[in-house]
Amino acid sequence: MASTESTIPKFSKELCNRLLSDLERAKRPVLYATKCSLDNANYNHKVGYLTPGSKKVATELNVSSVKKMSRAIFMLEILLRNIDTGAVNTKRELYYISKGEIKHHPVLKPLDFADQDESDEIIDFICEMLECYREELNCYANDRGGQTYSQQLVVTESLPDGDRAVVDLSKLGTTPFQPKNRPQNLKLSARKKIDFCLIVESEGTANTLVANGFIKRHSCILMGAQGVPSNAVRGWCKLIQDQLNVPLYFFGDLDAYTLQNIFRTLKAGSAASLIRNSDYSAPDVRFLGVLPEDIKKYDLNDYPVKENDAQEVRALKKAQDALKNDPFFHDRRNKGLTQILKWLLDNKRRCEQQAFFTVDPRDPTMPEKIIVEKIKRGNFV
Amino acid sequence: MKFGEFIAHSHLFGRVKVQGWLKKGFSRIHEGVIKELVDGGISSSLMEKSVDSLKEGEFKDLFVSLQNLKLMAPSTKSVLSIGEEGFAKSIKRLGAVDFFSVVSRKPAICDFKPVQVEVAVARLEDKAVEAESAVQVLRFANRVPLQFDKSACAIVHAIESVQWRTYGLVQPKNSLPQGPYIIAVSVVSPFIKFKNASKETIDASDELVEEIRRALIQAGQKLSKHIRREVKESELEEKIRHIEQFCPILVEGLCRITEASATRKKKAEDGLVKILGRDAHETKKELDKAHAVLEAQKEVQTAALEELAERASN
Repeated sequence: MASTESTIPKFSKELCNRLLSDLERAKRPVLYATKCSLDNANYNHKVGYLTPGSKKVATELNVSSVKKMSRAIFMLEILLRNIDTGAVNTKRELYYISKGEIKHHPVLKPLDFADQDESDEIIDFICEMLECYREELNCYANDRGGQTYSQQLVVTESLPDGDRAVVDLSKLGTTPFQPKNRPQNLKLSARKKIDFCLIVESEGTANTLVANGFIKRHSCILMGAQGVPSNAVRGWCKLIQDQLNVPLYFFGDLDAYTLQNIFRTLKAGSAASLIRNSDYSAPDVRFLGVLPEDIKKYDLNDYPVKENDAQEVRALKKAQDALKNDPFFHDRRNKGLTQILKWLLDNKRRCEQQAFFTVDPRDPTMPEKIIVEKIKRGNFV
Repeated sequence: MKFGEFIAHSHLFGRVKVQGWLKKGFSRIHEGVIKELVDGGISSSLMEKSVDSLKEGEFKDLFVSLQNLKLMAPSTKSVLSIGEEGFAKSIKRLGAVDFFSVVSRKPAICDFKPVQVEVAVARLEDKAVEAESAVQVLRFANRVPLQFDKSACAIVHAIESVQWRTYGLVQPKNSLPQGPYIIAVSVVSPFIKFKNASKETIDASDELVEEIRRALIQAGQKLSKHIRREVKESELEEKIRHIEQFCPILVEGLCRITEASATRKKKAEDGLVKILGRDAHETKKELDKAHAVLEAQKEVQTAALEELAERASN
């Protein structure tokens, strides 16, 4: 059963009680956590995002696992205290808090974490065990990406003390609105009908479009994703989709990494975050480009994948794996995306989003014109 | 034996008939072999000739015919082993050891000559000193220690060809293994072929290297059993330490979260010790098993050495 913020303390206590009862009876307690990997991911286009299958990772108490279990209980206690007091921390801070606890209670010395990776692993284990988001345990990552510009969007935030903060994006000038890692307590409204929301992979290109007056000429929301979308970007897109009901378009590079890592994560979530994809994916988002046909149509500069570039070769290899194993690319509804991925694998070429600037180098608004034309003509996947 | 050696060998026997020289000078040539030679095309008159009067062409015919015959392998009675005691003396000069084992191969024929290979592997007690340097290699040829030019020696070639990592030793690729170990190899043979005039390097023929390698592998297997037992021992210690360290912390944490009573806490602690104690018990059993294997192996080794010593004294 998945936990929610209100049920986490109760569920945690029940879990600990079960462990304690098992121990009293000298029976080995077993902790079950959802297996967060692609082989336990299901995709149904009606649901729209990757959901966890039935596979669980069982950790039975024995001499080898007693350390992990002890650490999990130790960290759970810290997190429950945070939930109780309303305190919020990052993973790094939790690492230092645990260090501090051990410093002040030498009896806990065996639990000491050698580095942050060890404490992060325990936090992730707790999340998978309780089937909750890290944010629900009051553990937040740094807000990254999602800088949003709009002349129509108004954001109302409910603050923990009960106050409400209203942010009118049209009043921010060229300053973007930065969504939080947990945007669920934001309420969105539009000053006038919003036609579309454009998510641009490159933060820099998003800035350029804004500076060139994109949001003044179009009733839209423009967002910079800044690479692989963070929880903030994913949750924010989901919020825009659910609350404003506007079409969402993703504009990024034409390469395997963008398609399977960036776009797939934004649209259907990731295998590593199976338990939170429902709130951190926007299934309605469409891939606006760069599309393979755009290269010919606009005579864009593309170039071959460098065989000696480890990252690009890895992305192609991952793309091959994705075609074989990723249920998202197996779904008939995503046939268009699968075909693009196949085209990338067959042709081993890539084209960057900035290539639209080559179409008319003297017209800074040319990329904007192409984007709008593509939206109008329905030239997206 | 090369053709030149064959002719030189004949000169040692002076004015005797060819068949007399062959029967006297070669341990595996007898009347039957002489008959086979005659049947094979060597004229019987040649057999009756004096060795002194043989021409080079006749020597050649005889040599080729002998090469084509299948002769019984030479006797290996001529080789004597160094034995455990001899090795122990050499190795103990280098420091105190906590593991020592000797493998004596049965005498074998390498390159048509009897050879016996013996290998001793020892581990120095002071493990920190030699941890990252190559093992010490002691080479013996007919009980004489070889000191120089070791890289081209058959013994070093054989040591490098063994995958010591399988036996728990650190070994960089195509090099000697590393660590506080001493590997002593003795090659005993009436005809050791050296690479140079100083007799410091045994010629690395494939057959001899393979024979040494087999002895080293047997020694490595013994060593790995010993190392495995040590690992099991340390695992057991680790498990017991784990139980002592984590049991109270885990139970304490669970009790704090559930606000459990002291009675429940005590009961849970006892239960946890029982569970983890079972694990430790399993490891103890595995350790005992490993120990028994090692003891059995030692017994076999001692019996073999005693038998060898008895044979040598006879």
